Amino acid sequence: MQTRWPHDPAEAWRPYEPSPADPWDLTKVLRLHRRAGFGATWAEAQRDLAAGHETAIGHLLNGAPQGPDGRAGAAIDAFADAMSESYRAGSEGLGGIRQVWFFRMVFSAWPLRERMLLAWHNHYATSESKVYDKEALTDQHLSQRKLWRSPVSQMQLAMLRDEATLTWLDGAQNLRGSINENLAREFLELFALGVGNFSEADVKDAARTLTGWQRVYERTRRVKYTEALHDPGEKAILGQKGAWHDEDLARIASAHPAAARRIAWRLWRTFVSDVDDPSPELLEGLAASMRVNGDVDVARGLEVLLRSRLFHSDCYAGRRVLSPVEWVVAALRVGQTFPPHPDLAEVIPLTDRMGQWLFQPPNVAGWPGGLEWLTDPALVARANFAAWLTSDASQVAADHWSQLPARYGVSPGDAEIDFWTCLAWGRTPTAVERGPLAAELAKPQPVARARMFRTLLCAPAAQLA
Amino acid sequence: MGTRRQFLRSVTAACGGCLGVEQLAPTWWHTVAAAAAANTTGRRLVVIELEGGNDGLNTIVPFTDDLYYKARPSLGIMPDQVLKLNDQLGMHPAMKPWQKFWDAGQLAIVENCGYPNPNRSHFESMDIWHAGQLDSIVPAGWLGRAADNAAAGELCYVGEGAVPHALSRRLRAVPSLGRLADLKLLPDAADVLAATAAAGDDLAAAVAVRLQSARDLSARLPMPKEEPNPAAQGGNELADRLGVIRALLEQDQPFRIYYTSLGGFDTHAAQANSHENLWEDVSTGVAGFLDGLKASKLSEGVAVFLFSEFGRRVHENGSVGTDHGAAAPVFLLGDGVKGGLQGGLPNLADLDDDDLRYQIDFRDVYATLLTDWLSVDPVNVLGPREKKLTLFG
Repeated sequence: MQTRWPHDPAEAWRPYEPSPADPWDLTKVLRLHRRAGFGATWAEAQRDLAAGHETAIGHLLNGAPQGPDGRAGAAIDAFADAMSESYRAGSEGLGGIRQVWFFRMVFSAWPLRERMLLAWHNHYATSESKVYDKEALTDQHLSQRKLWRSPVSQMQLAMLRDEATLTWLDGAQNLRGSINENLAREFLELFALGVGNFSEADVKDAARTLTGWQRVYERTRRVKYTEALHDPGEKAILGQKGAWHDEDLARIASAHPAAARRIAWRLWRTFVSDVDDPSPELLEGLAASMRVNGDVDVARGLEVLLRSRLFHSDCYAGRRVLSPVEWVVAALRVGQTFPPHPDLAEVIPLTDRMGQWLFQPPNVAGWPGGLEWLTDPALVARANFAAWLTSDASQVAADHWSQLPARYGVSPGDAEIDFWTCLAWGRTPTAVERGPLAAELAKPQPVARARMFRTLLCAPAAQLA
Repeated sequence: MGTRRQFLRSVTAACGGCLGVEQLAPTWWHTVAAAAAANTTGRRLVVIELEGGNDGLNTIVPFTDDLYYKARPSLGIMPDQVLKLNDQLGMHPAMKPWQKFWDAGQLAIVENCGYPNPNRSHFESMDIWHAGQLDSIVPAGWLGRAADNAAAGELCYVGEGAVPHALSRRLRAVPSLGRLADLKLLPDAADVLAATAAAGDDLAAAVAVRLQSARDLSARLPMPKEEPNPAAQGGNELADRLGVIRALLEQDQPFRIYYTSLGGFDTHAAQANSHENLWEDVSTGVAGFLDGLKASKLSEGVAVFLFSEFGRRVHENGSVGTDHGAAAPVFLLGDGVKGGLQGGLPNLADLDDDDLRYQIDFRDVYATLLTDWLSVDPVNVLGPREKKLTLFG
């Protein structure tokens, strides 16, 4: 396996320390936000450049005090929580829930959490197309929100007992004496271990282990466990024998050596690259840091990853394709199109045309990611979004784009070109790129700035992180 | 890690270890046109992927086999309901629209298709069918290799989401669309798409090529004057996609191999209704497509091939559904097809870990499609294959 990390794999996950040869600079700040969040506004970038690497990384890991529009993080969360509750109880479909999640992504002071929720949504990829139940899908999302960096056995067990999962993978039909393998197989293959780490016999016994859960329609609960519907016999799971229940399956699977590799792989795809696989040594290094007390410590994995030398190096910079939702949210955040922001109810359906309709992943393996996002219709839809955002149709004020640099005292010329590319690409342009951009900016104002941002959003560099 | 699937999906694999080669073909349209000109037979292949694992035993029913009815106490389809193909096998009653193709000798069914050591993971098994290889890791799908190595002609994916790996090519992105309207660029978008020069590494270059391809395809395909009415086909997604393919065929677009898919075949629970609905959609959709082509005088040059990543467990499960299985039938329809049943009867008395054993290697079916329909040498696509089926003529 090729690796882009040219050093000893053991060095990759040690903490990055700034040095005169490798200083904490604007490039690193922008990369941190673009790869662990949804990009940085100019103010966020300047703040974290001045704050130094420890504080800046802390802003991503544990949330910043304020979101991109200056509101307190706690206020944004409280508002979103209230919206979420009202939508869950309301009579509309999933549209409201999608909208609250988008609102959180655009305004959150803790974008890492939202990025991890996108990752978990892709990991436990559950679709409205079979579940058809707004409350169930909302509750699954809220469970993931609660456990997003907990030890993974807790997330695994919550998902095994989750109404949406039990419906999506037929777990609610898997009862003593009438086995349905679907949930057990996908749990072992996709959620917990990955292909090649279990046998067909494990699938059959894991299915018996999961028997006894059904959906119920009661005011206070939606799933119910009935001992009489559980297969009480002995099962062999990954070499361990016992009269196991679902919590045993979650525990045994999370303690298996492959469990940490599976989650480390998910973190790699989410924050490092979805086009280059890690070498086995690199993956094992990250996985090893997450094996704590017979479980997989997700919070620790995130911390190791975001502080690491590899993460802050050039080796994998620009080796990840932004998903449609990430790309749209980044455009809204770094473009600071608030207030008033474009109507999210108008924005969200456009991500469907780009190939990522939240709560409708293509199948239980989730969206494949990487270059596969960039089909012809998806790229047409991305370009159409960029055109819409920078036109009157989006309700963003016509002079918004021409005023944005001036708001930060950025003067026209090279500094302004840097300003725009730092927002849209997370880097300054090369000499070859700079020429055409200067020509763009020289065109009549105020249209030239809108056109500039639109052009940058449609460039290859804007699709990558 | 290191699974077939992850490797196939990594960039280095998809591009033969060097993404930069995509740069060699920045505007694919010229090469497409040249390839189309070089292809003299005029034949087109339409591949339909039935995603999720189609229950072969309830599609082509062994209606005289007691073991079938023992294994399927709730789901078994009774002999008086099946559409009889011979004394032992009959089609699911929902496949009535295919009866006329069978009667006319234009429907070939190859029973018991599969491969050794069946993989019961959807994703691994689908990747095996996509790759056309069992264990060696290959950089492109079987149809992608047919285009790259054997001049089989250009490919087009019609459907939602990512382009299936069967089509992935070493050298370039594969054109795709769901509906023609998907490719309509707003005026302000058209002039900025692919406007900037690509700086950066092979990945940035690959993205630039895709941006250029999207703009080219958008400019090349005629846009419908109004949005098609999604209800026109009664909610039959496959029929909608086949309608797009028919429109492209009628425009004589220079694609030789079209690929589309229909999901929903992963029938673990309450299967009877959903499986019936699926086959109603498939058989109605394909029949409507072929009838439409006949009206346009194009049907002689088009063959339709349908497959799924595996069949399902012989014994129904506890939820009146079926779990993942192994061997299953594939289907081929068209004016040029030699109708009939091949591959023998499913043998329910001799199972492999509760599943049907394969009798026909799916790669032999692929080899026959390549040789006898697309007139290309399959050796550079599939390696040497000894056995060939008779599916055409």
